[in-house]
Amino acid sequence: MTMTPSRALTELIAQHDSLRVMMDLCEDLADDLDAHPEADPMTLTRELARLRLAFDAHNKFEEQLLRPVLLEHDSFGPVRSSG
Amino acid sequence: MIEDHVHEHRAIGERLSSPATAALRDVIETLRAHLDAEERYLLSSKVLRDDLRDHRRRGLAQSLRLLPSNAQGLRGRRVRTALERARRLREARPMSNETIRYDDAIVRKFVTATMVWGAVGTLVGLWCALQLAAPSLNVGPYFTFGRLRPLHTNAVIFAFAGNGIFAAVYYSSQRLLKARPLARLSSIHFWGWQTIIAAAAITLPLGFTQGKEYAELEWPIDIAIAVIW
Repeated sequence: MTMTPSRALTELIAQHDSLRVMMDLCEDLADDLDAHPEADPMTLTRELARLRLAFDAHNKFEEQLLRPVLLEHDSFGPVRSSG
Repeated sequence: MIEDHVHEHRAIGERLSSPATAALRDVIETLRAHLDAEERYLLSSKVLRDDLRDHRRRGLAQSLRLLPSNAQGLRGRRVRTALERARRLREARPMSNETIRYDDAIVRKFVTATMVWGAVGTLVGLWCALQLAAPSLNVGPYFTFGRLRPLHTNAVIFAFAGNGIFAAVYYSSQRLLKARPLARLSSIHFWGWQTIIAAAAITLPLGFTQGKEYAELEWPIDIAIAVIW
């Protein structure tokens, strides 16, 4: 399936939304942990690892995508891409 | 710019490993700001446009790699609510593939005016030069050297250079900003500017002048220049 820029945009925004949900969860778990220091921190550690993985995957996708797009975007594209 | 952006990705990713809750809140705040900035400046339908020349050839399809299903590992009512909120936000976000048609008619108008006034200004300058060699070319009272010389400089500055600047601004800013100017405003700008030039071309030979070098035009025209510019 061809990845058009508008589809890529939809995909990237959806990934951002997912990352935000994961961040909310990590923050809630951190709140719980602060309120109950005796609680098991493994849940937070696991969710944090999941967030890190998702963020890395998202970055890889975004960096691959944005480089050529920014290059073509306007006359300053090469400057943006090389800077 | 993109290298800075990638560097920021790496830095945030490394900080995400911290298990301390205070540090975690801090990096999550940074990540939120980063995502917001990305959506404001990069992830818009004006940047990721479908009319980019060779996005197909570059095989962006190969770079499509969906995230591992983030939702699968998430549990609980709170998470489901958050996911639902994210879905609604995503659906509410306008996803138009905007096609921008630049208004090059206004550019052509200013270019034409530049050429016409450039010729007029140059010819008046030639006439002034000839008057220095042949004083009989001074035709009083309106076309003497003293009245034509300021007309020549003002024509070259405001009419030739001014119209040329506006042509360049209308051409380049549309392409840089991916936006089209309001037709009514640009038309007012064009005709207002030509009216100012015509007013200068009439008043200077008639002898209406403030007598200041490069600021000869009378105050009503000065105000019109400030407003129309």
